Formats: sequence, structure tokens, C-alpha cells
Amino acid sequence: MRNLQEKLKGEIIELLNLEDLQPEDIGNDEPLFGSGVGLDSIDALELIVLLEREYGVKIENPEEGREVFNSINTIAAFIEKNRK
Amino acid sequence: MSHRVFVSGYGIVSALGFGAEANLNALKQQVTGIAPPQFLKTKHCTLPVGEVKASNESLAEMAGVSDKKPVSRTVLLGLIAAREAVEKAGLDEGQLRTSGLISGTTVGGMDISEHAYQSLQKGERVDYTKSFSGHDCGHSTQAIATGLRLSGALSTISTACSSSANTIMQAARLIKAGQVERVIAGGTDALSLFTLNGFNSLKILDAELCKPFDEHRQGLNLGEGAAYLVLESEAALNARGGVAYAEVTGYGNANDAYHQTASSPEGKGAFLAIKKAFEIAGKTDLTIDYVNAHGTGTANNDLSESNALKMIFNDQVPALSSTKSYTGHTLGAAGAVEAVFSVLAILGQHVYGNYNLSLPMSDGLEPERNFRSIKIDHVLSNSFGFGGNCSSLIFSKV
Amino acid sequence: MKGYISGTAAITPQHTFDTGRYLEEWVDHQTSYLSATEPAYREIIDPKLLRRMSRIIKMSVASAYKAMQMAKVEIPGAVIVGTGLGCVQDTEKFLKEIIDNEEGILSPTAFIQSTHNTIAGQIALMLQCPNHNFTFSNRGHSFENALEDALLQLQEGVEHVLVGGADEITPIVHELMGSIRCVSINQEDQLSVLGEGAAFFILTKDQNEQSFAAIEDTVAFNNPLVDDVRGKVVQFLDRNELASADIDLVLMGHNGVADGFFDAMGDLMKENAIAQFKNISGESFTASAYGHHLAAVMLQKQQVFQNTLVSGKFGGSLDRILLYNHYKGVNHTLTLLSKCPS
Repeated sequence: MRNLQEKLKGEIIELLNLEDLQPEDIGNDEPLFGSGVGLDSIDALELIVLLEREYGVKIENPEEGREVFNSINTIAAFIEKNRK
Repeated sequence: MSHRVFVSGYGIVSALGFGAEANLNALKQQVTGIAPPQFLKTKHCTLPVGEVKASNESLAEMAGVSDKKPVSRTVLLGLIAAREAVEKAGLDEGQLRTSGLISGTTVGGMDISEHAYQSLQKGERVDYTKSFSGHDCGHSTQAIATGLRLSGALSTISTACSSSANTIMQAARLIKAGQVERVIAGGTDALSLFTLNGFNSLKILDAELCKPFDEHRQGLNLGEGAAYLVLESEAALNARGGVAYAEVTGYGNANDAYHQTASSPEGKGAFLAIKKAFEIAGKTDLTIDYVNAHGTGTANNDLSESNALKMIFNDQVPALSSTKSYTGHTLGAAGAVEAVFSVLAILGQHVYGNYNLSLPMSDGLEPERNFRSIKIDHVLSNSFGFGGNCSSLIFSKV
Repeated sequence: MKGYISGTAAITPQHTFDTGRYLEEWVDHQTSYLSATEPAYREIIDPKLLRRMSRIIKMSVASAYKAMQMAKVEIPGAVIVGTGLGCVQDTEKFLKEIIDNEEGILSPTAFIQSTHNTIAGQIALMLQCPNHNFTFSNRGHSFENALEDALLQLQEGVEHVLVGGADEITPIVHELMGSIRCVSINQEDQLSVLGEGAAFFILTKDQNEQSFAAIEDTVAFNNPLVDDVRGKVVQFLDRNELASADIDLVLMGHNGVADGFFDAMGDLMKENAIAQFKNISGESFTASAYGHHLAAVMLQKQQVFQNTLVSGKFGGSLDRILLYNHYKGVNHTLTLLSKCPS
């Protein structure tokens, strides 16, 4: 699980071009949207693509994505739960 | 000095058919043009689209194009619609020669270049001259002007889904300012893998028939088409004894400045655009009888637009419908397609139904369900797009 | 309608963004096309916003910001952009997504950013500017359409307008443009060299403390014969009540390649000093935006920069510049610019 979180951080930084951030700058429970890392709805769509391509985990409804993408921990938990 | 701006001709091609008459008949019969794609070769073969029901070969024949090189559907659709408009206006060769053209499109010749690009990526030999020279937006305008033998000023506007609403606004502004006397204005866009997959990646396409302003709306259906209006100053129209079918009395463009693709929930940009259109119309007692809404069918647009309309009309929103439920969202052509529907509504004194509506949104707006006759003096037509672009036009009875 | 230039900035293949060292150092491009010499954007644009921007957007936003700063304008009365090919880098990126993933699950950012009006939309979003927002994409008249709209806005009563032109190159665009004989792919080709960049202006309705040049008049026309050029120029000068001797410098969009139109213009204006700008900007659908910018800077600084003078002698002062450009012999432009205050 720990490894998954670190891997996710690296992937998110690269995918969303967050040049100013290092993986250690993102807390596992830090909110990714809004005040925290500051992601927005376009990033949410990118994260849906990431989860499906890299982990084979599907999110059909962007609304559902909102909860899943709350933090690195919630994403990791969602992947663990749904990965085949 | 301010000149009045008249609509003296119109032409249209959409999923509903070729020409104003065919389109009007379909709207009267309440038959939608949206269906799974027949001509666009896509993996998304079940996604409903408002496709023009003809192959490129038959479109080329209709458009009178005999080029050896592949010609974009965007050009072909545009030529067919623009030719109908100038014929309806009864412009002779000399009048055509001095007419300008302002055309709107979002992806221009993408339907051709996306296939060539694919071959290029795979390392296959591509005949570049044939495939990429018509990619840019300006190419379609030039090709339509050449086809109609126009020698006036040319302009191409690409403001996403409001492109052709903006061409009509631009033409009206130029005529009002006395800079030109006659302009053909409208837009054209063909379906492409690029736009279909693009909207699909945004997760705003409805997998079923779209249902604008419905509580359970799921998104939009893409469409394709073209429509053009001939716009003339009063002096130019009278000088040649042309017929005024309607008058462009108001127009407004504003930016929502909220998000790159989404509209602000309160409809700030839409509200400003409509307000500007009223200011240009300059009449305090102007009563809008029908609103041809942007109404794409996405959760976001329809909510934002409803809120803007409620604010403008103090909750007394006039008869309203989205004809995108019949044509799909024709992107760069949408503003002009709906401008033609607005002119036809004035001429026929009717409003269109909002197809496929079962449960209206819970916010109180009651879109028209059926085609019906009502008295119409003024129509408001809205077009909003990516990049926060919001445009509104007002057409009035002459 | 006249418009006063109260601010302008441009990013081109040469050093044009740093106004203090304008064209002082010459960049020798060893490539077959001229790529832009770009500033450090992080000092100009919020890094949080930079992460999604392709080069055309960065070049445009940086130039627009700088023009606005010069003019002391915070929220322009209109934002108008001309671009011939739009955001091609993102267009290619999304096309590649479609092909590589066979229309499967696709990353949407490139699609969002590919729309032609992303530049004007992004500027509106960053400035929270709700005003008129137009994008023209009309081949060699993309910037001219925008300029005409800007002047119309001023005529309609708007105080100031942000207007600009921008195009970007990618290696694939270069290859394709080369193969359709729009630009040269190697140095032996007798064709123009492809370039890229952005040039933005603040035009104001009235002259103010920041105004340093004015657009007196502009005309765009299509498909003339070489023999028509003389008549067009004479007509244009006539309607501005000027003779060719009143023009201090003719700035032309030629590039060393044999060209009947520019020859005709050179012949007509042979008594005048003639300068060029495409050795700086390279050829593109919106190269003339830079031509307008260079004319404005020359009027402001009363200087004819190195590598621009082609023939004739610079008389020491510049009151009026006549700009003439065409794109592939199809889209022609004439603009008269003057010093301000005159």
C-alpha cells in the first residue's frame, strides 16, 4: 500500500505536469482538490484515465470520482478494493 | 449613423435534411435526425450523432465539386447551404461578386487531415498536398467563396460552439457601421473522430438520444451541418428589390471567465451576452416570444442557461426549446443553424418542440414539448462555447 | 477608424521580448525553421497556470501581459486574437491519443487546449475579463481580421482593446507545410522559411500618455494580380491624403525569395527606404502581426534596427511607416502607421 501511494504521487505529478512538486510534498491525506494540491475538474478527468489505463480500475461517473480523488489514500484504497 | 440589418436569404443542411423546407418539415413532424453514425467511420458506432445523411461523394455532387483531391465535408456542407442562401436571396453574379463572406468553423478540414495524420503516424506514404492543405479553418471560407464566386472581404471566426453566432453578429456590426452592404454569414462543421472522441473524453456525450432541459439529461449528441444567412443593409436590399425575411435587431458577446470548458452555474456570461443583445436592440418594451436555447443537454449547460434566462426574464421565461434535440450539437454551425430556425419561426409564427423531454428540470423551466403556432415578433437565439464564449442574437419580424 | 498603440510586445525567433535589448543580439538559427526565442515564463505567468499551456498560449499570454503593462490597462474592453493554425501542438497530441489508443479511453486535456479560441479564452479567464472575446482563423488574414475587429470595437465606443496574432510550429507542421510547398524544408529551396511567435497590442480609442504610435488605416484584399498592386497602394495613399514621399519607411514582408508583388511594390516605392521583417519572424499565417509590432517599435524608438534595412537610406526620423505583406500571393495587407504624438 505504501508503495502504491508513492507510485501514485509520481504518476500524478508527471501526468498533470505539477513541476513545482516533489512526491514528498504531497501528504497521503492532503486534499488533492481545492485548497490542498489545487487540482480541478479537468485534472479529475485525467485521473480517471490514469486509473483505467494503469490499474484497470474504472470510474464511470465523474461524480463518483470526486470522493475517490479526495486524497492519495482514498485513491490507493479505491484501487486496492477494485483491482482484479 | 446606424443602418438596419435584414436577413434576405437563408440556407441550411443538417441531420434533418437538405434545405430550409426539409428541415422545417422534420421539425413539424417531430422526427429527430439523430441516429448511430452511418458515414463517420468510428469505433463508437452506437453513439448517436446528428449526421447529414449523405456520403462525401454525393455531397460533392450536390455541391458541384469535381476536385480530384479529397474535399472536407466541412467545405461541401458549407457550399450547399451557402448556395441555397444566395439563391433564396436572388443575388445575381454582380451582387455576389461584391458580397463578403464571414464563416465560422471549429475544426475546418479535420475530417480529412485526421485520416492523413493516422497514415503519417503509421509511416504510410501520404499525399500531403491532397490531405493537409485544407486543414486550417480559413481554407473552408476560401473554398466556399471561390465556389460561389464571391470577391468581397473574407473572414473566419473560430470561437468554438459560438462561432457562427459570432459571424452573424460580426456581419451585423459591419453593416450597422456602414462598412459593408451585404455579407453572407454562417458556419459549417463536419463530424470528425477528433471532436467525437474529444467530447467523449470529457464525458459529456449522452449514449442515448440527448434530452436537453430534462431532469435526467445525460449529455449532448454531436451533430454536423452548415447554415448561412444573407445579411443586407436596408439601402442595399431596397436598391435591388430584395425581400426581407427578418431583421437582426440585437446581438451580444461576453465571456463567462469561469472555466475553460464549463459554464458558471449562475450563467454569468450568458446573462451578460443576452443583456448586451437587448441593449443593442435598444427597445425597452421588446418582448421575446420564443427562445431558441443553446440547450446542449449537458447537466452543466442547461442549468447555467436556465439560471441566466430566469434572471433576464424575472422568472417569466418565454416559450423555449432546444432544437439540438433534433440536429445534435453542430458546433461551429450551431449558431447559424439555429438562426435559420429562428427566422423560420418568425416567418411561420411557430415554435419548435423540445424532442425527447420527459421530466422537465426541477428548476421551473417548462420547455415546449410540441411544434405549435404562436404569435412571434422577436426570437432570442443563444450559443455558448468553450473558452467561456457566450453569444446571443435577437431576430425580429419585419 | 484610427487606433492608438499604447502597448505592444512580441515573442519571435529573435530577441524581441526584452524591449531594452531589442534586436541587439542576432540569433543565428541553424535549423530549417525558425523557432521562437522564448523568455522565462515562470517570471511572467503563474506557474500553477503554466502547467497546461502549450507554447502558443505561453507566447500569447506573456506578450499580452506585457502589452497591457505598457499601456497600463488591467481589464481590456475586448480580447481579440488571430491565429492561422491555432493550437497545433495540442491538436497533434490529441490526434495521437486517438490513434494510439484506437479511440479508447483518452486523456481530455489536449482536446480542451486544442480549440482555436483557447488563447483568447485563457486570457479572459486569467484576467476575469467578461468583455467581447473573438478569435479569427483566416489563413494569411487571421491577424488582419482581428485588427479590423479591434478598430470596429473602438469605433463602437470601446476605450481599449487587446489584439494579437500568434502561431506555433511543431516538427510535423514544418514537415507538412514544407511538403505542400508553403515553406522551405532545406536551404536550397527558393521558398520562405517557416517561423513562429506572438505579437500583441493594446489599441486605444483616444490618444493618452502611453500612446507612442497609431494605426491610421488598414486594408486587406485577396487574389490581386501583380499589376493590381500599384493601383491598390496609390488608392490607399490617396484615401489618406498622402503621396509616396510622405512615407519614411516601407516595411515589407519579403524574405529574399523572388516575388513579383514585392518587386512591384519596391519599384513603386523606389525613392523610399525599404525594410523587411520576415528575416526576424519567419513566415507564418500571422507573421504580419509581428510586422505591425516592429513598425510600432520603430516609430517609438525612432530607429531602424540592424538587419532590417534592405534598400534606400534611413533619414533619421520616422513619422510614417507603410506596411505591405502578403501570404502566398493570396492574402494581401496594407497598413499605415504613424508616430504618436505626431
